[in-house]
Amino acid sequence: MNVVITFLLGVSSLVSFGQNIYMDKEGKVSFYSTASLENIEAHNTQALGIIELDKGRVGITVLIKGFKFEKALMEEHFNENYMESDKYPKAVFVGKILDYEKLDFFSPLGVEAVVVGEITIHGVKKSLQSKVFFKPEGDILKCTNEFRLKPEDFKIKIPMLVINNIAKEIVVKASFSIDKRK
Amino acid sequence: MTIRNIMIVFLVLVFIALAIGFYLYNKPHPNISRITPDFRITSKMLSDAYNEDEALADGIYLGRVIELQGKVLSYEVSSSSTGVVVMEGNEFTSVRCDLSDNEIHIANLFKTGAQVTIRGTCIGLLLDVNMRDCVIVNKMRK
Repeated sequence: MNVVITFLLGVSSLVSFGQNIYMDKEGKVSFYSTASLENIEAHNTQALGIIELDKGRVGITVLIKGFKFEKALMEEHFNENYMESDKYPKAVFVGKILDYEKLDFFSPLGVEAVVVGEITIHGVKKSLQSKVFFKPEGDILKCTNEFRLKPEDFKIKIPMLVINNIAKEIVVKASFSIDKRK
Repeated sequence: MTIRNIMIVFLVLVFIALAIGFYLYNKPHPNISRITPDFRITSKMLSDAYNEDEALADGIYLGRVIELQGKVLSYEVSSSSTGVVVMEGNEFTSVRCDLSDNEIHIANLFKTGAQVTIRGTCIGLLLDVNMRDCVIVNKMRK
């Protein structure tokens, strides 16, 4: 069953369903690889982010085939060889914001929080903890975060031939905008 | 064959190999408007397929170029400046078509409720079925 639907169903068992759940269906997730031979970056602008502010719960799902690369050949290798996106079409993060009750997410100065959870990529689940920033921009609450991942941790096999073209640690940046009015 | 001739043949082969490598490395992304779609179905059919059995639908549609006919539910420009046309599916699931960069100005012509034919690549199911690099076919057929 779709993890996102499971998340929503789990959330619906709570009394406040619908009150404080926000979502962004066009979130941006990008990753950057800086290596000696080559710099690679890819951008996905169709990420789904769901946040339940009064329970501090967060769910993000990204379709792997939605990552756009400048070079078509790189995109092909990424999907067919590294991520095997026909077999593992999604990357999912489910987590909780630490001390969410003490935070004013809509503080005009912006607020920094820590989110802890599990990320599943290429069929491999790993725990993940990272800082997340909330800052209102008019009626929109912007949520951004940045973290690093190692391809080897997710059984992503990089051939020896291109080992110097791909960084050992990939930087991932995510940005979601939630509309307070919706 | 003299050594010199062998060297020339070798250098020509190396040059050809480098040229092929250079072309492949720099080859452009496929132009969706020039690709014959793998499927021509309605946006409702695609949504129903994904609702019924996501894994099965992925097996058929994931990564494929699909031409969809259906009704426009909404059009918006996302925060990343991508045009997004949401097509009618069923009560649970719609089809979100992220337009390719050149299409934004054309999509302004499509109002809610209009019938539209859009071609793009299916990338899978989130809350809706997602398509990318979409182009509007109506205008192409004129």
